[in-house]
Amino acid sequence: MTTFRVLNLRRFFEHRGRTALSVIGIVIGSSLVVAVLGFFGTLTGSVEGLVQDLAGVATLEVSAVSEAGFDEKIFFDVSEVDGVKAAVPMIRTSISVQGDQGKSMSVLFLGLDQRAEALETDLGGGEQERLRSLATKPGVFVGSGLASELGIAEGDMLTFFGSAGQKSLEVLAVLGGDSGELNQGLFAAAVLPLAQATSGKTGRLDSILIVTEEGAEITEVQRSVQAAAGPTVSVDSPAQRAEQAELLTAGPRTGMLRGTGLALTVGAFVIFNTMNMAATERRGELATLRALGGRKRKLLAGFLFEAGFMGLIGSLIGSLFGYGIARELVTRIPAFYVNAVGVEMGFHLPAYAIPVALIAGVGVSVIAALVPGRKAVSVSPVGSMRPEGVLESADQTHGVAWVPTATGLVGVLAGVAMVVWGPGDTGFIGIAVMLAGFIVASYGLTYPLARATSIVAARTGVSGRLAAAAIERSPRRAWATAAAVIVATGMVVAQGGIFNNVDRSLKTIISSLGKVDFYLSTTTPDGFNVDVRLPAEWRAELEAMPGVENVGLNSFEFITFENNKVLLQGLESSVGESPSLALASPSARQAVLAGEGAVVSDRFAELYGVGEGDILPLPTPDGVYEIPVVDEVPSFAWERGLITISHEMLHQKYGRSGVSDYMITLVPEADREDIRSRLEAFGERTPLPIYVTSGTEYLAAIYATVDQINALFGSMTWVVVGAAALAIVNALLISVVERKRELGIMRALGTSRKRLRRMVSLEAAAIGLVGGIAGALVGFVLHRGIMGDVAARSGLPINYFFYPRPAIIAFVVGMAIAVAASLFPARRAGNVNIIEAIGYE
Amino acid sequence: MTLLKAEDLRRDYRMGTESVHALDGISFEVEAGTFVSVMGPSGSGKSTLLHLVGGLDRPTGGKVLLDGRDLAALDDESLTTLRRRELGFIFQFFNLLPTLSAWENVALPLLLDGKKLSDTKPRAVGLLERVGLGQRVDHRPSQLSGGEMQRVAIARALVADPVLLLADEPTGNLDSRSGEQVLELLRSTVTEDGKTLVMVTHDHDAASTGDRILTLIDGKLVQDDPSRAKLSETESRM
Ligand SMILES: Nc1ncnc2c1ncn2[C@@H]1O[C@H](COP(=O)(O)OP(=O)(O)O)[C@@H](O)[C@H]1O
Ligand SMILES: [Mg+2]
Repeated sequence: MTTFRVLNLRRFFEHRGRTALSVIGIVIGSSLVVAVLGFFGTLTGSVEGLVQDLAGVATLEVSAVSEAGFDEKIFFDVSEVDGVKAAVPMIRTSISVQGDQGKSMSVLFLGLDQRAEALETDLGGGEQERLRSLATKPGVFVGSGLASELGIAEGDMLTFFGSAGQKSLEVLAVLGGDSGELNQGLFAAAVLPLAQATSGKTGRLDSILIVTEEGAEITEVQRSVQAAAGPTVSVDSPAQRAEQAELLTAGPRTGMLRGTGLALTVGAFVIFNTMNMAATERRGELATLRALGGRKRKLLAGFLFEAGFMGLIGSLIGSLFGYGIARELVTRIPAFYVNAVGVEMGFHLPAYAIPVALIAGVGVSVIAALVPGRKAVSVSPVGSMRPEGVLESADQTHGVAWVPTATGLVGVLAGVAMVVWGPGDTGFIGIAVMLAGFIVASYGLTYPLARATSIVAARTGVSGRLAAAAIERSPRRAWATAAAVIVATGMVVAQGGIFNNVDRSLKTIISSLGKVDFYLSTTTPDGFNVDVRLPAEWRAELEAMPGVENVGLNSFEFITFENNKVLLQGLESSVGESPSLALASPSARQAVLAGEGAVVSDRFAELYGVGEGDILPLPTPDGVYEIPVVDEVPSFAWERGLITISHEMLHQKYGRSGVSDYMITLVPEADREDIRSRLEAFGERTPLPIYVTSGTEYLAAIYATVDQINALFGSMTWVVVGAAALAIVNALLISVVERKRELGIMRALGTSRKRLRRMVSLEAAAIGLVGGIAGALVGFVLHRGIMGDVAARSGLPINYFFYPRPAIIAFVVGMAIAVAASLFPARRAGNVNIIEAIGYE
Repeated sequence: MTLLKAEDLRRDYRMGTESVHALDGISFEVEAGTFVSVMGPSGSGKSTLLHLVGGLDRPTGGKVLLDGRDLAALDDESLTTLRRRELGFIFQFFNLLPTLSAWENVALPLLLDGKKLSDTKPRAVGLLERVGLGQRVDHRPSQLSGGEMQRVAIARALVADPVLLLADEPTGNLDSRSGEQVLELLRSTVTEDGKTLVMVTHDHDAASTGDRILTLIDGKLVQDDPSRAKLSETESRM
């Protein structure tokens, strides 16, 4: 058995090129599995790692509902609760810090004291005694990562930018070992009171970690702690922070896993196609093996083993690529995510990622080979005796094969139903089922497709008529080629439609951002910098600047709402430049600006069931503040939901002064360049980076981010198109090899090389044409089906619009890849050696 | 002892609405240890007969008995095992696997039977020596001449030590010298190894290598004679 398989594998090394072509789909699919799992593993694994490193044996955590923290008096109420063995107060925030060489960055900032020993973490790593003695002086400890980033050492000075102003502190020690690796070594820590003062949180805390008594009922303790601490904090497991982070990434993760599944489906198709070709090609050989007494089961096992081996090679290579892609993606994690979770990202590839990719690659390949394999081994052994070789399989029905057609269409409908009505997580399976359904249905329509193709080919003269004959004689091969074109064009059309819809929806919603002439911000347009604010005093100065007509204010805060990180936006604007107000009704806008109401995003209303006309229980550091929701608007800002209130209210309720973005509009005759340089001059007043962006640049930056994501998915599509082209080369090459004798006879009878080449190319072109049309139709349906799912999964307000333009591209692409793919096989056909072809072996 | 028995064998092929009687009621018996040639013009049903006898195809009517067993009573699985262990096929176009070397091709039936490749090598090489190809064990089919390929195929047919060898036009694709060598070799499998051989050919000279010649025309057995070789043998003995 094993021996026999080993002999089978020899074929791979003799057809290296073809094997490589066949596994490309699997390479892509499995590399995406590893990349996606590695990327999202990093996003959540980093947060989990920090939670574990910090929380130690703590089982509960009292945490603030916003960056403003909570009143430290709560600590005494909490530590007295029954079942609480130890309570550890903490400052745990992000802060901007600058070294004495001028470089600055945002890092994790911790404030702790001796009470933290109850957590039994290895913070301090055996050096507690020394650190304790050092900590009698005012100063900070820093992680090794921060030390090397800023180029600082013990004794250097660091400047911290807290919300109460800046403060310089001496570096007491650079922590090495495990504790220095906390948060990738990017942290600073100080004794609690100093940390409170430095971060602008005197008398406040970010967190109290609680170690419960042994045997205490944790949910019981949780309830009592919540009751003792009051409504200005939330009490939950320390792991809740990791869960929050996971919720933040859930939308994009499912989206990308779906893309991955789609790629694997296409990979399966390419393998199916190859094995189908192999089945055709090896009919004679299998007939011989059957005549010599090879059992069907054994031959099938050999066939499947081959496919599985291809899958294994493909997914091994894919895993390697995927690892590289994941590492690369991790360096490009958007700033707003890191801001939101306040954790530095360290690469975390889940242990199961590569096994999952290998199993998926091998499994998909074996399943894809099952049907062609069964067909191949059921060849009649009599075939081995025929001088002309084995004929095309006997079932030469010329109509529609109803079983696969019906099965396929049922698959398509089931897929659509799953996407539209199924629970969220089955949406992807629905799409895969839909795509597979199309492929199966087209298999059932092999003969009509071949017929249509041959009619097209026959209209192009003598070579065309020869091509038509070739197509009609092996409709299965025509199908395999056409299906590759259908998959490729279908993907192009569906993806083009989706991009268009995302772009169009995004542009409609955020276009008002372009009304602002200049933004003066703490961050680039793709980030939310909640740590640092620009001084509030700048406002008057900006307003007094000649040429400035209006100055609007925008600030962000993250709050915890129903255990989710929700984005809270404070706005003061008179020109409706921010989408959440621009899209709200005029009366709602007035209510928000007057501090009498809040506007929430559609997604917020959907997630928490609080919408227009309801009262929103807004969590603030001083307790819940009830405010009426005056409107719901579509928003791209934050998937977990956006709440917009007035800037003044944000400032009052969350106690932090300053502004995230100044939004400046100019009088029409203002000198823009002059104003720009004056705005940039503000940067010299503060060591922190500030950004001056025009409205057009601001929009362009956001579009660029979206385009980047589109390009990522787009490149996946083009790889699929490439794989389809290779599948076509494969099919046509086999067709040429199989018809070698016939081609030789035609040459002997005086057919020119050119005509034979034309014949092969016309065969491909006709298939490209028919496949392109069918593929465009498939693409339209896929687009419709996927769109609803994209909107539901991403939580983004994306609407479906019919968009036919990619069909033209796809059509041209379908023809082009078919013809391009035919060039090499056509040359082979033209160069057939007459003597060799018509003589036997 | 009768090894093979055909009783009123029929095989019809449906071509649309018409029916072709490729074999039209054929009966004969073959003694163990004999060499039977099947002759007849092209399209007379020779190959069809061989397919039925070899369990590659099933008759429309009548029976094939091998060693007293009715092939029609065997399911596909048992027929497959029978072909693997008790029959040896020799094809007109050799049907060697191009990716395997000569000795691996010879070993193939044993591999299909679950033997390990290394265990089969001595026997395969031994058989290649027997057919005069001791120098060619590691060659690929593409590196062999037609006559050499057919001799590899004969070695393959012998490897599982079957009782009955079936050959369809084994010399049909060979030059006359190679053809003679192959016929000699086939003859020796009967005389030296005691195999039973049924060989289809449309060549009169080839047919007369056998002990007995069955002649088919239009699916009917029209003649069943001892061959000239057999005759002269018997004559000389008298
Ligand atoms: N698969 C088939 N389908 C239809 N007719 C067949 C098939 N195989 C053989 N025949 C017909 O049966 C007859 C006998 O064929 P065959 O046994 O191959 O003859 P021979 O080997 O003597 O040349 C011929 O008329 C041939 O056309
Ligand atoms: Mg014949």
